[in-house]
Amino acid sequence: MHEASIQTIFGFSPLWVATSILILTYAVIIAERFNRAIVALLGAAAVIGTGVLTQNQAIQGIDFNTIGLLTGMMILVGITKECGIFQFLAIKAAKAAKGSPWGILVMLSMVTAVLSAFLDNVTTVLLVAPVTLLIADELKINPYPLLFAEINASNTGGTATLIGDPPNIMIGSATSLTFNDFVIHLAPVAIVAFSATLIPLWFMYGKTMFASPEARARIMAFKEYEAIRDVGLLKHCLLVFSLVILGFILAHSIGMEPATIALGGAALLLLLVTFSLDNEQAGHKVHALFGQVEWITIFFFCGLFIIVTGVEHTGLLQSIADWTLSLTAGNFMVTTLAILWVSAILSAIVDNIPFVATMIPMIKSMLPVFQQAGTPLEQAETLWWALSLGACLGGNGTLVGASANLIVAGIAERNGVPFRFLPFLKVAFPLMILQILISTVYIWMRYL
Amino acid sequence: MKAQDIMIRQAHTIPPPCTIGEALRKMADLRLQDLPVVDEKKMLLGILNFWQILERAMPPYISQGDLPDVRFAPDLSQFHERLGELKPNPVTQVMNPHPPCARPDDSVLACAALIMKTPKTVYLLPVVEGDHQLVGIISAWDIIKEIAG
Repeated sequence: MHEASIQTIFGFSPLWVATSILILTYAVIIAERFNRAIVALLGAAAVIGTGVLTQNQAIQGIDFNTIGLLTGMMILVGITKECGIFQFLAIKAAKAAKGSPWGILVMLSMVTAVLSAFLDNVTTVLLVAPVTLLIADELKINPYPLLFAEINASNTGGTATLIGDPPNIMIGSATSLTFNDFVIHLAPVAIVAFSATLIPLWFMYGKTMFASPEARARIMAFKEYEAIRDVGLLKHCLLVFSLVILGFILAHSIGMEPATIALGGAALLLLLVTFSLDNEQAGHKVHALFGQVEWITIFFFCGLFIIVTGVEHTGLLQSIADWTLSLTAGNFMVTTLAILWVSAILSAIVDNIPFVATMIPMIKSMLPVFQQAGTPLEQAETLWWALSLGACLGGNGTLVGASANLIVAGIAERNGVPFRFLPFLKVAFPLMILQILISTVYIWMRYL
Repeated sequence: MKAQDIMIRQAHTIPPPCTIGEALRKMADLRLQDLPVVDEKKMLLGILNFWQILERAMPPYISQGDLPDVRFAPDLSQFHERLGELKPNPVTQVMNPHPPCARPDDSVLACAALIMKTPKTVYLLPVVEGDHQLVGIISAWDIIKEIAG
């Protein structure tokens, strides 16, 4: 715990000022009246303006490993999506299912889950959902079950790796946990949770899905190779992506942080795609590709990191961590499962990024307590897996639980497929509970 | 030079009860992308544009750019079905009822500025007078001819 740099601010203790800024910022973010990046940056400015943190302390609070990893991956995906590989994979998957509607639901969900494990979820669904609509139209089936399954697959697949979902990126960056650690500890449960979700989906939708032989023949007539728009670009992207993934796997051995690998990969791919251009053309191209970075997300993260650092600086998070431990009587199992379930329920309702940003310093301060009580470090790290599973899978619970959900809903609504909050909730929330139950059993059996 | 000096006075038009299917055939026969829709008193009711018909027949995920490239699909049955459903409807359902219009004494420069404001696929500027009575049309080609000298 740090000492607050000043005694009082306008007669209030820094703890109250920082807490008020945090609550007010989160309330305005939840209200969704203003852009979240603006709100987070204003909150951050207030933290510095009121003297809770100096500018230097605030800058140090920004986790540039998270920022670098996000930016690097956004550039890589921004370039890669232009070559048509995502559409190719979606059509290939549909044809592998031989045009069977349920087979297509399973295959497209698998493609979405695997892509989401390595790319950001929003980009994945943004590219797969339109192809799904076209396939459903050609099959003359309701696209809702396919899109619903893809949302679930996207959030579940994102849980499996360090780079799959922003909460994992933040956790990985704040700890010494590696890409491989995430795969070893989270991929198995993500695969089980994904597979288990398909069973209720079969009974709800799969049993009644039917397409005529003519409709299935139309899908089989699709020429997936025609979806590849630029073979040269595809080769460059595959080369760089392979190197980046290899880099993530070897990161620990070669002593490199994920941000360096992602940004290095982005720079290499930018070099390859601009290699044959003259200086001016290359400048325009790089400018356009940097425009693919979602700056709203990046600045949102910067603002949040500063706000949370402010609160951490005043000792509030330590107090909440102590209070939580007193509630669970320092019982490791109860604490772990409480983190899992609270994270899941809250992430289904509110943005999981600010929640995880707040939880990370709290869990960090809980770890030494458990280690002193005799819990081995590897077992104590279960708290991180609980946070990740809760925050990522919790996004499946409601339509507003994750950005990918809203993106798919938006595309579906524009195409005349209603995606409403309550009907979605009725199916999605029980499925999310199922996935958290699976996670509970997994954590209990493997770690507790 | 004014609009009345370069406009075509005997423009091809269609009446409001005309169906989209009939209008498409007329467009194909006359090799025209745009047709003014006028009533029996020659009052301009709107402009029918081929690309706007096509946009209506395309699924939104294609026309709105979510899926910009569909080369992988040899044919789309849904496109033909949607077009088939669209064809018996009157042109008033698809036409633009508020197209930018020129006045006969507008300059060619003003006409060029107006046509630039229309969607990139519309190349026709109706010329109206009085209470929106169509007196002629100016195509993008008329403006190009005038500018080329």
